[in-house]
Amino acid sequence: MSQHTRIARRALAPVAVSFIALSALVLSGCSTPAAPAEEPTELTLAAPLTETGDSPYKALADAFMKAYPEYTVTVEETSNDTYGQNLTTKLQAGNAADIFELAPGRGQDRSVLTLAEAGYLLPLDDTNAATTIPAGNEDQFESDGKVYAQGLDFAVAGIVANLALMKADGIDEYPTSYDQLLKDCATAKSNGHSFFVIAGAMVPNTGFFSMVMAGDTVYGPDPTFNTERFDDKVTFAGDKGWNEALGRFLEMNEAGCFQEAPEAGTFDTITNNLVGELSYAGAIPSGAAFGLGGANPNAQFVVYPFPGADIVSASVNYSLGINSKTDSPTLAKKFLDFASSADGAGVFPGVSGNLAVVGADFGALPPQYDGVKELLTDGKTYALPNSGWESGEVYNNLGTGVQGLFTGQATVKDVLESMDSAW
Amino acid sequence: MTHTQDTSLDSRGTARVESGRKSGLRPRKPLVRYGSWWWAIPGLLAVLSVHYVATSIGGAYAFTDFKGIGSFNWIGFDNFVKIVGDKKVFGSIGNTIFLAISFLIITNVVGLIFALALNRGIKSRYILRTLLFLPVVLSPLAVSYIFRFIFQVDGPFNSVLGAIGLESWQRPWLADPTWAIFTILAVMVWQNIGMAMIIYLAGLATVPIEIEEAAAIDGASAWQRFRHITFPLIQPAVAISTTLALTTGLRVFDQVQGMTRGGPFGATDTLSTVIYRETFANSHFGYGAALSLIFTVIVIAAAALQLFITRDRNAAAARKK
Repeated sequence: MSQHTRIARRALAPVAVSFIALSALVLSGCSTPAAPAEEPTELTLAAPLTETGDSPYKALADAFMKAYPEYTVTVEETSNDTYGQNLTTKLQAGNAADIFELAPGRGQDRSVLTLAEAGYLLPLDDTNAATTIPAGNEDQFESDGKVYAQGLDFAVAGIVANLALMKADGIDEYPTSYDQLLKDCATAKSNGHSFFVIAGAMVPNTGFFSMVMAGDTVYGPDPTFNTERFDDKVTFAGDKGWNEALGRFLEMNEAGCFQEAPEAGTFDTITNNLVGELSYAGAIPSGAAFGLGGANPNAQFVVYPFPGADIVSASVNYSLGINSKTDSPTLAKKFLDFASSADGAGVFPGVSGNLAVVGADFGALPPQYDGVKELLTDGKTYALPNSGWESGEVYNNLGTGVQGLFTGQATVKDVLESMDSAW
Repeated sequence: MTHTQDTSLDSRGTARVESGRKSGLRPRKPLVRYGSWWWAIPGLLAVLSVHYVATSIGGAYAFTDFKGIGSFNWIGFDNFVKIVGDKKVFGSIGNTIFLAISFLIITNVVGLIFALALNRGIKSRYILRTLLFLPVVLSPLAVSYIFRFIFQVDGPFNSVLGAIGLESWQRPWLADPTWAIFTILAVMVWQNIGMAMIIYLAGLATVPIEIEEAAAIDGASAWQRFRHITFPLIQPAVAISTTLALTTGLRVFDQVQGMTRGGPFGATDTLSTVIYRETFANSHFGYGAALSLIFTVIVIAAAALQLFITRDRNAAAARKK
């Protein structure tokens, strides 16, 4: 036997042994019946990190584990900035959490419809999810007739105003018309204050402010604007309501309604001006009225619609969906059912400061909601418009465009055309 | 029989014994071996797979309509055609080039001046060098957030201007379409001067003091000594420092994202921030990948051009002779 043959045999021996062992393993696997899979008793819940205060997700998980001590729910929080990207990356890699936070509608990487259409969400038709969706919000949770997410709380998007400061300046009531607002702006300015504070350098706030104003000029008169925009029957640039809404930024700025250099405002500016009593009001989520009031006991923060509007934006703020590849679909649905049950429905909004999606009694709301109580009771509400927009770029162009209006870099037409172009 | 051996070090530092060929015998193995070329294979494979293969796959997305999730379609050069008609991209390229060139010039000129000043003579030079280098080790994002606070409308900078009677100079620095980009440039320069200074100090350490002294005795002025002795001798340091500054300037992201997020209304957008926004905020992954490919070509071309301009011509001429 030659030396080469010996070397080749030595080298091939381990390969042959491995092949035989592998074959045996495969055959034994084929012949053994698979044991019935038992669901794990542990769940993971992914959510964006709460910037201030306690985490409502952890509070909900704790309440569930208290009610069902045999189960464990681990909350995985990531920064709000990277949460969406993190979620989509993990979903594609197949290692996402069992349950995760979602944004209603479409347009963001974490949007319910975007992920449902991509096959990453479990349908929730055999849960109580449908009961958590307020009237008018259904199209943000349903695809092909199936519900894919469950609402956790209900937020009013309006103007949070400090009535005490307004009264101290001689303004006895919140303005009931746009013209009255412009007059009150002059009064505020003469007292060294501004009626509004806006974070002009922050897209989320300029966009939010625009959508609050659009209730009066767009979504009140034409509640189906988004559907018509989808069908290309209307455009932003060609819509009278949108032109009026953005034109008001220029009018209000000229009337001195905003703080000095509104284009440079940040979220810190909003907090400082409202708590420090430099401005009367800001367009911010209604839950903030409680936090701001806590920071300044002398203030009296109340949520209102935009002056003159007889409609207010009210929609699900946070929602949860189930990973279509979860190993624990039954347990995950049990968790969602708990979150909408009599025991669990109040836990999340109790921490987030928003309203409960199930069993909310608008007549018994805290005094911070006095300005919108009647509108909520009468159902004069509209969902936040951007959750029904085709792409996040539309909202981004609106937000940056408002800053461009303040600096004079853009006209109303420029901004609206850029939104149409991004659609 | 006696046998002479000629032991020398080769380019890898390996001791070689040169005797075989001269004497007609079979060449012997080196006395000391530090490794074989194939030992590098695992490392090379790791670099290739992690760096180049992954990047190439990322580049392939430039030819798709991938939105970050779900399936995608191959769309050929559509993304590149869209880029050509995108005004935002051209504005951001202009800002990127402005920031890169201004940053390169200011950082290197000021860094060289500091290096010359702190090279010899001043007793407290070691403390001053440390103080000047300190900002380099800070996180650019953290520095940006601090300066965002400093340049706010009611921030310390405007307060100081007001205190010294320069109220007319007060402005929203980061939201002013004209001044915002200069504010970002100032912060970039502030943080990176120390790096240029250190590179030039290393270069100046190689300049023999005797030559400068001889020139001084011959009556050469300080400028003449710098122009004809120091500067030519620190040419390699100039090449390194300017290359680093150019690539840093072209890739600027943290300062813009931390201070203005590209605003107001795109006035400070750079290619990096546009790529980030298109890819992650607007979920246009294919478009973002196409922009990244163009960006890569621009950086490589700029760095190559800059290296060509700052090459050591004397050394090249000497090699030819």
